[in-house]
Amino acid sequence: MNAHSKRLLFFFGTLLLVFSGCARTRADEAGEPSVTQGLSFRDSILVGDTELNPGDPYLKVSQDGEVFVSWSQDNPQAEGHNTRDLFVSAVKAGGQELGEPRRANDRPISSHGGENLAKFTIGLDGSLTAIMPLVGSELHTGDLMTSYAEKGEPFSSTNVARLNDDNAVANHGFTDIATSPDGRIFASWVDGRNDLDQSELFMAVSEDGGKTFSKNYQIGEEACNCCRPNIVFLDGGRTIALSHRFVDPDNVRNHVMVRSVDGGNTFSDPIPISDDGWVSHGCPHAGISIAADQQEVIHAVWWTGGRTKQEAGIYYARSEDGGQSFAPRQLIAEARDDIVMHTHITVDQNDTLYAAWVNLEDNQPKIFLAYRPTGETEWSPIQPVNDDPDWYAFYPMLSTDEENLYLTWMERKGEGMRIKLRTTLLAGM
Amino acid sequence: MGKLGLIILTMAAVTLGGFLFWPDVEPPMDQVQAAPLPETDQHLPIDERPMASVEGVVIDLNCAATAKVLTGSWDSTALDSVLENATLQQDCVSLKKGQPVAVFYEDKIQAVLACNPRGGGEIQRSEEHGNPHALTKYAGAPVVVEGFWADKGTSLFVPVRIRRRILHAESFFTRGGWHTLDCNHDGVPFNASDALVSPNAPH
Repeated sequence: MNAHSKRLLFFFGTLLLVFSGCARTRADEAGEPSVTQGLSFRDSILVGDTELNPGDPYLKVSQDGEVFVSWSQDNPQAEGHNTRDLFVSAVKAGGQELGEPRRANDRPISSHGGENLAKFTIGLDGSLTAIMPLVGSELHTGDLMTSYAEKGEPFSSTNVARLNDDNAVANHGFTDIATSPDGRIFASWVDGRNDLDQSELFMAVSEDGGKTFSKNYQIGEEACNCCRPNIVFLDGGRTIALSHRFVDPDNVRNHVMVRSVDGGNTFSDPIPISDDGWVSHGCPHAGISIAADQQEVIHAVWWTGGRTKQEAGIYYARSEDGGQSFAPRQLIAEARDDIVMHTHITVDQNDTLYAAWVNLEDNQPKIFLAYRPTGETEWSPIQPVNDDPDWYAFYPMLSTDEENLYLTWMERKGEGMRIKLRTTLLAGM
Repeated sequence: MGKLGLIILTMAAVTLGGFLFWPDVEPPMDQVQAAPLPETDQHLPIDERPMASVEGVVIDLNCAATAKVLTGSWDSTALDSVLENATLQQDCVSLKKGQPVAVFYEDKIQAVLACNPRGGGEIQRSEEHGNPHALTKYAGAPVVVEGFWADKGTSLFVPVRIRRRILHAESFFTRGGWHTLDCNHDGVPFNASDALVSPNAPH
């Protein structure tokens, strides 16, 4: 048989192989997720001034269903390490338009973003409270600032205050801020003021909707100093569950939960979310994302490098007892063990879960999404979401209102940065 | 599986086998690129040579070598807490500026670094990140070091830049997480093009 005949034979053989692989079998059906529909996203929109490298997007929905997005972008007049401004806009028309941006900072904020991004929360009355990291004189994570705006009003410089109440040159960063159902606002962050081997987790509470905050207090020890905490509320705000990444003396970095059942005055010892056994030296910038549904089930999604390369991936776990214990983890997607991937989870009014994360495809970081309707045990097929393969995509962030799922992320190409926002109808609508 | 399925599977296996054992005169391009670099690289000007890459844990070679002499084993080297002797163990817990450094992996010294920069210049990030020009912050950490082999027989390696083996995605795909190693201690990083200057060249 000459080479030409061999090529023909190979061509037809491959064709047969492909068609036979496409044929659906009972075995395929048995292993197939029960949710098979991908979500149809609308066209993406750009967020922020594209000339000023917008980045670090963050999303939140108010009690009355209004979605807001925040981001930072270059302040052309600023120099040094604090070179960014923070803006917040309402997201309108199902994610196709943005409202007038409101600048939240009165001085340039940290240019390093990433997991240490500026965030905000929405008060029960529609007011906004932002939390912003500054690079310190000597340290990468210096002071934390808060800023307050009445509903629909601009942020006022008279309502900008320093959150950390020490005067130490110390690390304060990797924050979370959230509004309790009772209207109080809780801020938590990773704090190095006591100069221990590992950082601590600190908290402050605002009783006036975000205008002022309480004295700082320690709520956890042995915290990974560059892994964001996450706050959720249960039981009308009487129970507060907060996740962070614990560091043991051998540098094992498992995610844990600490709980308060007295409105945030005291917190429990850390409760393991998953015993991943991942060891990391240095600063992995790898937090977990948690969300609580209407049934007060806590859902968690995170990346871990695992004990072995084969274990590395994006995982999900849930707690049905308010964070006192977690079911064994479930693998959502395999991932590389040496590149930290960021995740985010949210839950809609029907308790459908949505998880978004960064993973590699064709050696390029992209945003992926899967969802899991309430009552299901499997996730939908994974679908890629970012729509421009020429840009690297990072840091996905999700939120929902009554009709839509909102997904924003940051993209980089060379020295350029930008933010995309895409929306789709909620699963099942 | 039905008869048709078996027939299709058999045909596919046969044609795939034929393809696999079908000799080709020219290998695909990716195979050409993946071939080991020839030793003649040693004759290239240094700024035209590809940098070599070494992976492992940064160790204090003074401690590791002393422990190896005393115990005959590298067993505790990767932990960087070498001996049961408390004093030596304490002294070996962290890499000190100026101590000889090696990259250790799989029970073997992979590379002896030609320098251990003392550091200098601006501290760019938090203390945890340390000074970008010093190796102390990498003690006991898995890293990737890029540079040039001075002598493979003695594993002597001139480091040019270093990064942690584990990086977050944005850092990996944008900045690459690399930190230049300043072997000259005076703020001038190793620059391969400097090596091209002839000893007879005017200052």
